[in-house]
Amino acid sequence: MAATDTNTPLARVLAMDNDTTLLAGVYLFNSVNDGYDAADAEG
Amino acid sequence: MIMAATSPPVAELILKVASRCDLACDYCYMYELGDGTWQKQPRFMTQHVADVTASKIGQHSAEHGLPSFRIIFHGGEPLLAGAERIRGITEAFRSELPAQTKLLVSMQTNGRRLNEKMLAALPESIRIGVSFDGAAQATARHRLTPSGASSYQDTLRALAVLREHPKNYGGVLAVIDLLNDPLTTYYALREQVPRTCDFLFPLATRDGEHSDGAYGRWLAEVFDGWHLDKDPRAPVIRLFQVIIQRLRGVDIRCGFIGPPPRERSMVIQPDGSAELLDALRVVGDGAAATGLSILTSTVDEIIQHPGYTQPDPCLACKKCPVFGVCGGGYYPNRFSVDNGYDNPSAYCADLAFLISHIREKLEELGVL
Repeated sequence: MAATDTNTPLARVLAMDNDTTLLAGVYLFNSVNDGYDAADAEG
Repeated sequence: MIMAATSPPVAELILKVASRCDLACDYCYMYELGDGTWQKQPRFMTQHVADVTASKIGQHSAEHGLPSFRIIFHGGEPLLAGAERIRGITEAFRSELPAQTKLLVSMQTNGRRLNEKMLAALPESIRIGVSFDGAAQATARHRLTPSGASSYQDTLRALAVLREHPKNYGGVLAVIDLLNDPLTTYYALREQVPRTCDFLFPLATRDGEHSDGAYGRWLAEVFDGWHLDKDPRAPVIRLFQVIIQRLRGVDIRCGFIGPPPRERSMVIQPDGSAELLDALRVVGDGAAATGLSILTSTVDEIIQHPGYTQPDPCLACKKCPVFGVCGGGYYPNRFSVDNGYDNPSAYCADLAFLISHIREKLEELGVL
């Protein structure tokens, strides 16, 4: 099945963690749950 | 004021560190929608306002046991405030947050002032989102300097800097213009290699013309070109991410589609005024105001303002088959003078079309 090809954006979305909250509203960009925040906290 | 017994904690502050902008985009909610409150603000947030805010957020984070807290530098154009001021504000939060609360730092910028030197002077792990409409023609139509020149080349230079620093590259945000070809726009964003991007509906209320679904069809064309795209530069598109996850039953929360987030987000103006969603400026002059200030109230006092609780979706929305995904849509888009927020979204037809389209595609792929 094409969706299981890990090179596609759909496959990456399907692999993301569950139950995430994205705050800040649509007109700001902060976090998509891509793992960077956990690694790079402390500005 | 209605005083709630308990309110969800604030997990994020949008810090208006600069009240002016060096662009004059024609769709801007800050300056072009009839709300003139920005003119009463000082040009920049002072360190004193930042120190008081950080102290109160530190107390709030400790009381609520927050594992992380995000500050987002915003404006106006936040880089007008200068890197030194932004670092000073960041340091204030770092020193005030309890040890168990991680500080996350973000910024949304037009990128005109972002270069290697500026980035090096900003907080080390800042995540920067850039507003960028895609192709040169698209940018030239809306994102203009005060003298009327396109900001396209300036933004491209900023994006080139961020591509060299992926840790700092949050993503790009594009406002949809139906005059632009959807796939051309997607490819133009992909070329900038953001990990994430998103497409925004232009701000609208129910008092304007309702979309007939054209934005939904435009986005569906993007989805078709995106979801199985094998180009290694292909980004995650936030709106599609949320729709896909909600269709799968994942309780992903955000402020613009689906049920409201569990935590709250608060805007702090340069003078310390606490505000609601910026986008409420589309509703009317002063609609985002609370009348409260972080200088004189605690965070827990401010968050009890009823405006921090999203209004309930209308009955028609609650009976709709896609309600579980869209939740009535972004609530400023539901406003009308006659009914308040008791309406479907101005983009109801678009959301219904897009969600149904994505559901069909996922069913074809066996994902649902």
